[in-house]
Amino acid sequence: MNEIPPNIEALLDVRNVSVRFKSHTAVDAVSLQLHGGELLGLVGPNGAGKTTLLRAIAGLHPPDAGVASVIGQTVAPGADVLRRIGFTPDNPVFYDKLTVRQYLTFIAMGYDLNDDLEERIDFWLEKVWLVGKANDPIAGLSRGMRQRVGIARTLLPNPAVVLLDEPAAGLDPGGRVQFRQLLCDLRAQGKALIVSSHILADMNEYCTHIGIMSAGRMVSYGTVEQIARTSVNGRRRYALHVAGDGIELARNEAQAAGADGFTMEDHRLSFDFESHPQHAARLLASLIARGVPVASFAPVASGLEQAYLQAKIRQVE
Amino acid sequence: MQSITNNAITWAAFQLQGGWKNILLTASGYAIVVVGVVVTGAQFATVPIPSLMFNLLMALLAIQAAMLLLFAPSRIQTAVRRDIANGMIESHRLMPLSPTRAVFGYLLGPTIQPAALALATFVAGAFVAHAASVELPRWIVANVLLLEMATVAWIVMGAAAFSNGQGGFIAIMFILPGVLNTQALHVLPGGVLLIPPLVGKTVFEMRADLEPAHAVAFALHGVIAFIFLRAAARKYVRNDAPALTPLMGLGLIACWSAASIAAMRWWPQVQPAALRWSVNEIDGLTIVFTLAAGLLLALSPVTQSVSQSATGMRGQEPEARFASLAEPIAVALLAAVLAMLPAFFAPRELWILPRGEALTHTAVALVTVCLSVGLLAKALYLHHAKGWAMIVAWLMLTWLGPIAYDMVLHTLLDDGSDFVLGRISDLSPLGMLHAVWRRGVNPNGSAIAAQAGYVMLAAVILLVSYALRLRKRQNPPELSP
Repeated sequence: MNEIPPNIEALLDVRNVSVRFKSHTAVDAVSLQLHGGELLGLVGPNGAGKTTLLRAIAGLHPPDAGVASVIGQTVAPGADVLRRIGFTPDNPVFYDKLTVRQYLTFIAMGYDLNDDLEERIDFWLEKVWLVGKANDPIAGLSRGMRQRVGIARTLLPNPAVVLLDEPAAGLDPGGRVQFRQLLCDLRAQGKALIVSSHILADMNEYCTHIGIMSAGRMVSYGTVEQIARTSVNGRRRYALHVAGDGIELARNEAQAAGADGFTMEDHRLSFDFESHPQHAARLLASLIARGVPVASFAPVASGLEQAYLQAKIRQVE
Repeated sequence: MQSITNNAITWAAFQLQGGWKNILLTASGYAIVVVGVVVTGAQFATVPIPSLMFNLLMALLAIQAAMLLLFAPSRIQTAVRRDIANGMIESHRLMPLSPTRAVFGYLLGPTIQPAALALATFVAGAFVAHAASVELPRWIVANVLLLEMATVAWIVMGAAAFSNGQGGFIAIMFILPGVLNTQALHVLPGGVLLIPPLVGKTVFEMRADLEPAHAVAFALHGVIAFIFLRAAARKYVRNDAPALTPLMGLGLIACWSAASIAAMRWWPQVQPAALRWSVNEIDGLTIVFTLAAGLLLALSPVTQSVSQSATGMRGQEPEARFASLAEPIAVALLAAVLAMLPAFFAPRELWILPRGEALTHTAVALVTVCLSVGLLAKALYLHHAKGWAMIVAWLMLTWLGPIAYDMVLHTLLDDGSDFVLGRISDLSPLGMLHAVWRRGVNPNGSAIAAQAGYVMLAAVILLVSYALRLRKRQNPPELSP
């Protein structure tokens, strides 16, 4: 298997990439860098430009401006560097009449992987849990199974940069767990990955970076930690449940600590407060010290979800 | 060679057709049917066996032609269009397959089954030829001629399929009536030369030898095949890339002119022998139609040169765009010169006017057409408009408009005389060429002024287009949020 060359500054370098369709700008001056072992989770509403960005990076849609390079080589249609990029579209296309093994053999031939062809195919069939389906025609596979074939197709040539567009969409819960493990393995192998997904809940587990896209722009980009902490003015929304009386006391205490935007409903108090966990811990301690019967106290959404909700998302009509 | 022997796309197409098992079964079944027909025919023959076998051989040859020239290209087109339509081609584009190798994959893979059937036909035909007392070399030559033609047809169909869904078949639909219309063959002798199975003694006459014209045809086929292979490869890499660069388009015009010159020189040998009974001698109309065909071919490089300069300069100031007229004008002039070569090398018997006068008027007609189309295309591309509809309308108006007007006037006069193209028709470039090469009269001043007027009109349209573009840049429309 071809190894990724060592000491590479950035495996993937995207600089000011813009893609336009007539007057519509699908991707607007997006920049990002990924090193080996980094995994960027790309999130955003439908029509945000995630797929177009991935296609531009994969060399399938040349950008109107900017440049994407992999291992220092500019990505362009027909460029040799394309062999180092693996891309799985959200709805992968196959020759349905071929069996899974025949299809992967075809892909291996396309990448001139003639030496250890069978070994490679067996390896990836096992990795994507398709050993039992190897000799079944692709036409008879479920959506999730097809998704796995698509992932095997992408990983078979051992690319340095892996781009996966909604890869978990068709997977069952068990498949998602296995898929997360696979992504962690790929990170450990030193590949740079971008995974576009709507499922924010999983992303903490396998992403190193998060990019939030809206209307073609990367409105938020950073490590998972940075994004989770990033919110409007460094604040996020919390929900406090009080057992019995004491909601007014809790409100006053929180207000004194700097909270605002209060809403009260029965024994539930919601408010905006500092996003850093230490601030929240201090507030909780002071509430308990004041004798507020706290039943629960937690952010309304996870850090990523909060960041996503607070990002300047523009839903495309 | 690796393009052919170790090609992923060929392999996949082979597997999609059922692999060896299915292909051998189909070919064997077909061979059994052919043998059955031959044996049954021999059993119940009411005519001498050799005569029956010769007729069967002709039928097999017709099947072979259909197999190689219709069935196989249709398989190529289906495979290419399917992969483009469902997005499979994008998966291929990610592979490190060279574009040429990928195109070979599409040419060779889907045609394995037709090729197997063609091989079965060839083998069966060899036995039938023996029974018909036809020497084997004659059967072989006929098949070689068909195979050579098929090779070019496959490549052209591949390029057409990558460019446009029905392009290839539309081309065939236009070419077939021309080929089948025996009265029309002499007006485009270059077209006959480029179909070697029809040159001289056709394949159906079971010739054993080849004419020198065949060698010219093969050489030109080589160039044409190379150009279309490159075109297919360009479209394989990028959907939005034009198939033909200006240089490739000029190459095609050169091929057309060379084929026409050779065919006119050797017309007695090139003319299909089976059709020599009809009036098929080349005349002034030959030059007119040959030049018109060359002009139609010139549209591609002329418009592509405009498009290329526009795309290459996106983002530059409009002044710079305007200045980029040099390349389109150079290409237009070169295209006109190449298209004019058949007139320059026309056989002596076709000259009615003095050579200098005829060539000058011909040059005026050709250069003005190429220049006006170039300027018009530039005006359209300044606004990123798809200009084909406008250019076709322009050609209809300038080429056919005056002739149609002339015909209407003649009908209104109703003096019982036959219609002949006259002074009004000469305002059209076609009418002007007709005057020079068919009627042998010098076009009058108004005809020449009209040609110049077309260029001026196109230039004015370009200026207006430029002014509009400039205004748009100075007052850009507000973008909706």
